[in-house]
Amino acid sequence: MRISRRDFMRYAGAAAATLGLSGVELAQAAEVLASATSPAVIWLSGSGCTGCSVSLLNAVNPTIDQVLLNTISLKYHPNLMAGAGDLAVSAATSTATAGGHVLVIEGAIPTAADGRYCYVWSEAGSPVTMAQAVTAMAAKAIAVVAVGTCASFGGIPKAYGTAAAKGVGDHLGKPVINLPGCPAHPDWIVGSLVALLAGTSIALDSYRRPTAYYTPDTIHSRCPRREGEEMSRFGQKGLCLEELGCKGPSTHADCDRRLWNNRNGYCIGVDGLCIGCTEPTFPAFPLHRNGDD
Amino acid sequence: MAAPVHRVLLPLTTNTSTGGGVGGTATTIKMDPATRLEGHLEVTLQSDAGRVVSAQLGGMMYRGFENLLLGKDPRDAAHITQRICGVCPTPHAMAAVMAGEAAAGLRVTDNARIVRNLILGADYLHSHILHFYHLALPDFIKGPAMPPWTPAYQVDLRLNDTDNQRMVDHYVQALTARRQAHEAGAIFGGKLPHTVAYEYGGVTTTPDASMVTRFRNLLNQVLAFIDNVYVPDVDLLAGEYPEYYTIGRGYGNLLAFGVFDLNTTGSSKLLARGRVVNGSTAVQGIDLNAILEQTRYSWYNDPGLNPSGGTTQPNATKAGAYSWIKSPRYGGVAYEVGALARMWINGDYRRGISVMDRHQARSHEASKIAHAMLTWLGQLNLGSPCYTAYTPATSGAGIGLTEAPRGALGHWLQVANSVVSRYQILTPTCWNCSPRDNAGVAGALEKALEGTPVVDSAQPAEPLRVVHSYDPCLSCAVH
Repeated sequence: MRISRRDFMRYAGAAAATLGLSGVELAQAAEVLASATSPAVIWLSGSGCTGCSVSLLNAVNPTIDQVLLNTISLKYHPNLMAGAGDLAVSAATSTATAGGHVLVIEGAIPTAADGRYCYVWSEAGSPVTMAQAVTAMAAKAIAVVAVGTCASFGGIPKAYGTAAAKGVGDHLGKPVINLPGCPAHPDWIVGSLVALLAGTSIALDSYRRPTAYYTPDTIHSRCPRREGEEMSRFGQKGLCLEELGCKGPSTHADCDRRLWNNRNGYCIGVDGLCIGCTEPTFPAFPLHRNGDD
Repeated sequence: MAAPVHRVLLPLTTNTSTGGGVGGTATTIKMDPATRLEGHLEVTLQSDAGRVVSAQLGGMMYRGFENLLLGKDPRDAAHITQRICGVCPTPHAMAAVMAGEAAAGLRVTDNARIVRNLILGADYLHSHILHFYHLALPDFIKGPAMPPWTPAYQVDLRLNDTDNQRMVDHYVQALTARRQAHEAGAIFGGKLPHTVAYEYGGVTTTPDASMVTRFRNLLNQVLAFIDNVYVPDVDLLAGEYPEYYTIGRGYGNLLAFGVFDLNTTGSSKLLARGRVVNGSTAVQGIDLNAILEQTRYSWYNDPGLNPSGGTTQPNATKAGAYSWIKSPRYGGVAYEVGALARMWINGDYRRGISVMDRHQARSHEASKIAHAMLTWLGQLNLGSPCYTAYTPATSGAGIGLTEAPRGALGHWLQVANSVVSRYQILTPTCWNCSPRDNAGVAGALEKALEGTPVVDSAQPAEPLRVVHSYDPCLSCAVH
């Protein structure tokens, strides 16, 4: 299909926005995205909820290095790609066979019952499990990124043990970059991919989370409510939520600084609980405590 | 790398199709994955003489939310069940708090009701815009020559260059509009997807004038997009593809639990509860006891149970099964749920039941909800409480019935010794994408696919349009 340069510029804009790369110079983006040599991104979804993909769509004005933009070509994404069925599968498998791609995983990887708790597609008419697909897609990848708590640590699918769901690192038996969060913040995703593709060194904590986003100190340690009165029940504006179960004291994320949805809020900001969604222990039950406990 | 094959195609004939008189000429078409929808959907079609004669839908993932909640603090359900789906989490929060409040005999304040409706409304607007432009529209327009728009089916693309360009432009604008809907919701919800603001007793948020102003500004922009772009674009598409007003009808049975309570008792709703049979305009009531979730073709061992006494016993190697979705039936009959069902039952849209009618109903519903949200915003009583203290139920039961963008949603909660003793979730796509039931009767979308033309079996674009018209959410369906 041939399209005009004007059309292509619009398409490039759409791609940039879809990837959270708004705010870039589209003229350069067009050349980049047209490049046959652009390293590819495969986005695989397993036992998850697509919340991290939706969160990615909420990205706003990430600081994007033009060189990095030139390296992104989204070859497979189950929710966004036009192709379906064999056409979609071949886009993923041909990319993985060629190698040199970045593999992004959203969702956990069930391993019980030969992986039957999650199938991602069919090849030659036979179903392929998430576990099989991740192994195959990762073999020649230049990097593997686990987006969200399910992909990073197993998350909720792991918490219910029947499916023996695992995070990506556990499944592959090798270190990956973990970007947990339920969902992951779009800046965490875009910023990490950009740094990765730029070859920038990414400082990671012991759970292999970038410390730029997953702060060594906790949300609670920075919280202005920390020294004040405790909330005894919900609906008390501005008070500390620790007695109601807030997991800010054990949560390492920059939500309180970065805020969410174009800086329109964050969980504690609406006097709600931090439920510790970036932590390997998530979901750590109980999420609620009674104020008078 | 294929997994052990443990599923078999069903016999070609279904309960109502051509009676099997296709004499070995049928072609099997497998579309796995069916992309541009939430989750893992396997579509298997059998076509003959250029038409689908039988369809089989598999929901291909299971996590276990209902069982995970057993023994947990019931209040945790509003946070946990949202993680069923990142596209439509807020309806799960709503259903969970409604169920818990019913069990505790608690009624929230009018302010709390309104804030909940505003966050939920924001979820609808994001979801409907996302669905039309980013999930469904690529079935009808020429995509750009780059991933993720290549590769793509090249079948029956009718828009002229000008109109095609308009749609591509609007695809980009829609990315902003849906993001703004989420931003509005986050003002009261903290963040989206997965808000923390819904708690038993109301919402955590105390709205102030600044929040209301920010919300209104964002909502006005989204509303303008819906009325000036989204609604006309559906009309344009319908004008180019008129036969899609006759494709994908299905049974014509529509069901809605209703949503957006307009008073604290829920006796008045923006979109009403009810059901109709075979495209009737006579709206009937809903008896929840008439619902059974059957599992003959699902990877579960449960007998067909009502959710109030339901169980979920996964069996990943069950012979003959082909889906992780159960088969809910009302009075033994399959129903379609979603925006068209809501708008039909409410009397807002009754042009027909088809692929294009689903898109039309969805766009008009988006407009209706957005305008209502502006009204609700003006009804907020700043300074009045949004939260009511209460005593948690140590035992009891409650049902939360609401609607996700994709259709009727119910949570059935039972509490014993202050912890969850039963949690059953009945989601929209359970109704729409269910496999055959215990009697072998096809699910709503399986049925709607029958008769769909397939010009090129290697590029089954037409069936994919039918699939997308239901806006399937597979993570919800399997949960």
